[in-house]
Amino acid sequence: MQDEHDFEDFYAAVFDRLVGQLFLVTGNLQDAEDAVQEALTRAALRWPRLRSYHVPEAWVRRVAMSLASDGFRRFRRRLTVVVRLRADLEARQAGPAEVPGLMEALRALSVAQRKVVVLHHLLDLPVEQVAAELGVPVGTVKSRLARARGALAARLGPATRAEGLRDQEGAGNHG
Amino acid sequence: MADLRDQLAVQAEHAAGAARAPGPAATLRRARGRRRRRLGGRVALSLLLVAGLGGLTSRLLEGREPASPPQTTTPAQRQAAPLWTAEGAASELMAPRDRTQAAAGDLVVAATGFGPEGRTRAYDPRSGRQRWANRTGPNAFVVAAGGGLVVAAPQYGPLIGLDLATGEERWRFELAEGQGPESGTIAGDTLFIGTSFPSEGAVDPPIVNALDLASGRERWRAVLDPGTDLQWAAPVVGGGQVLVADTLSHEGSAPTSHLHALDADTGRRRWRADLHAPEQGFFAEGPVVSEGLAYVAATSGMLLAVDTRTGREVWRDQGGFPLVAGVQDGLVIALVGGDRLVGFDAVTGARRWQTPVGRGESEQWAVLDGDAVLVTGDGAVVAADAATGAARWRAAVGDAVGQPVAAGERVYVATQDRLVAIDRASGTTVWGSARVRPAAAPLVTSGRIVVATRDGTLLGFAP
Repeated sequence: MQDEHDFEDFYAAVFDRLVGQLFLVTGNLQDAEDAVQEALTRAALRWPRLRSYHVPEAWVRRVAMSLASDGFRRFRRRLTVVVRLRADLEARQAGPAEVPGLMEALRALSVAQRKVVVLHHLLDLPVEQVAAELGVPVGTVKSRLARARGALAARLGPATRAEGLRDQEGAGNHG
Repeated sequence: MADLRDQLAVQAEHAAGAARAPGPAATLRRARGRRRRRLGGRVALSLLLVAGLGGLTSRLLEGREPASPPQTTTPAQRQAAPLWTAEGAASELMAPRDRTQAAAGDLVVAATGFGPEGRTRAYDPRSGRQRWANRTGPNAFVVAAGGGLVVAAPQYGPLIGLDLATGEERWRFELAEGQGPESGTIAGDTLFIGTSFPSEGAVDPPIVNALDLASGRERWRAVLDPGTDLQWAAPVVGGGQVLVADTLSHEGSAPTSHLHALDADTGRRRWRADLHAPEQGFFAEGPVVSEGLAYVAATSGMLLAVDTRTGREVWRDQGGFPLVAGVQDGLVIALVGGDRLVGFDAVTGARRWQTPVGRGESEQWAVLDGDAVLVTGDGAVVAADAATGAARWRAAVGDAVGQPVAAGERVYVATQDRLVAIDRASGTTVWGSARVRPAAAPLVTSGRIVVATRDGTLLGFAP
C-alpha cells in the first residue's frame, strides 16, 4: 500500500509538468496527455523498482517521448474524425493558450528536432544526456539542434538566433 | 523578445495548466489489469467470458474505468457470451482503429504489437485458433488482403507480402526513409498503393505504386504533387484508372488538394480535379464512383461530383462536411454536416430529400444497407429509407465505434462498451455482449461476428 501512496504522490507531482513538456513535442494536448498517461501506466507496473531511481520522472519522460514518435499518424486519424464533426470542435477540450508564434514555429520542425529542443533548451540537459535519453549519437543531437535553431530563428527572430548561438558555443560546457 | 527557453517554459506551463489527468487511481487500476492479464492466462479469462460474468470480466480485461460513462441504451434482450477469446490479438490502444484487423479469405488477420516485436497473426474465425504469425515489425497494419496474399507494413514500411494460407513471407518492397504507406487496393494481380512522407515539415511528393501481387515487383510509380500527403482511403480502381485524393502536408504546403486519376496500366496521370480545399484534413473514405461520376468529399466541406473520364466538375454542394453512404436509384445519399441525411440527385446535385439525424460525440457513420441507410450518432443507430429519407427505426444502443455492419437478419454495432446485435427489420436489440471496449467495427465472416477490444483481445460471437 505504501508503494501505491508513493505512486499517487508521484503521479500528482509529475503529470501536468510532463504534459506541458510533451505538448511542445506533439503540438497537440490530447496526444501529449495520451503519451504521458500511457508512460505512467507502464511506470505503475514497475513502480517498486522505479521508485528507487534517483529521478523516476526521467524514465517516464523518456517513455512518453518515445510514444510521441508514433503520435503523428494517430493525430492524423483523430483529425479525420474532427473534420467529420467540425461543428463539434468548440465543444471539445480547449487547447492551452499559445505563446504567439512559438507553436507555429515548433510545428514546422520535425518531431525529432522538437525533442532535442525541449530536452536541451527547456530542461537544460547537456547534449550528451539528450543523446543518451533519445538513444542517438551526440553528433545527431548537435545536428538536430543546429537545424532546429536555424528554423526557429527564421520564424521567431534574431533574439532567438543569438540565444541559439550562445547555446551552441556553450554546449560543450554542459556535460 | 524573450529568449527561447523562457518562451518554451511559458508554453509548457500553459499546456500543463490545461492538462486533464485521469488520476493515479485509474492508472493503478489499469496497471493492475495488465498485471493480472499476464498472470491469469488465456484459459481462466476464456472461462470467465463464457460464464458471462460481465462486471468481473470487465475488470479483468480493462482494470480501469471507461473513459466516459456509458450512454443510455436500450437494454439488450439477451446477454451474449463470446464463443472464443484470443488474447494478444489486436493492436494496442493507441493504434489507429481502422487498421486493427481485416477479414481475408476464411481468416481474420490482425497486425499486433506496439513494440519492436510486432507480428501479423491470422485466426480461424470459427474457433479463434491462431493459424500463423509472422514478425512483421512494430506498429504494422494490414495494407490489403486478397489474391491469396496479405500485405502488411510497419508504419514506415517495408511492404511485406505474406502467403494468406501459411503466413510465410513472399516478398518485401522497401520504402524510402520517412515514407509511410496508406491503405492499398488489390485489383486482379496488382496491388495499388499510395505512400506519403508524413513527418511534419516534409513536403516530398506522395507516390502511388502498382506492384505485381505475386512477386512484389514494381510495375510503375507515379509521383504526385509536392507539399501533399495522400488521403487514408485506399485507391479506387475501375474503368482502367486509379483514383486517389490528396490533402496538404501542412498549412500552406500546397495551394489546394486534388483528386488524381492515373492510368491503371502505366501510372500516367490522366487528369486531376481541384477539390477546392486549401487546408489539411484526412478522410478515411475514398471517392464513391457510380455511372461515370466520382463523388468525393473535400476538407473544405464540399461534396463534389467529378466526371471520371475528364476530371470535369459536374456539380458541388457546400452544405456541410459530407460522408457519402452510397449511390442508389439515382440518388447520392450522404450524411451532411453531421446532423442531416441528404438524398442528392446523382446527376444534378439537387437535394431530393433531407432528414435530420442526431449528432454524436463520437464518430458518425452512414452506410447503405439494401434499400435502407444506417446512420450512427447521438448514441443511436437510425435506419432510414434510402428512397425517401423517412426514418424506419432508431435503436438507442450507445455511441458507435466504427461503422454498423448488416448481415443476415441483423445489424451489428460495436459501441463504446459492448457489441450489440439489432434486428434489421424492426430495430429491436436482440442481444448485447458483456461489457467490453470495442476498438473497431465488427467483422462478419465464416458465420462469426469478430470484434477487437481495446485491451488487445479478439472475441468471436455467434450471429
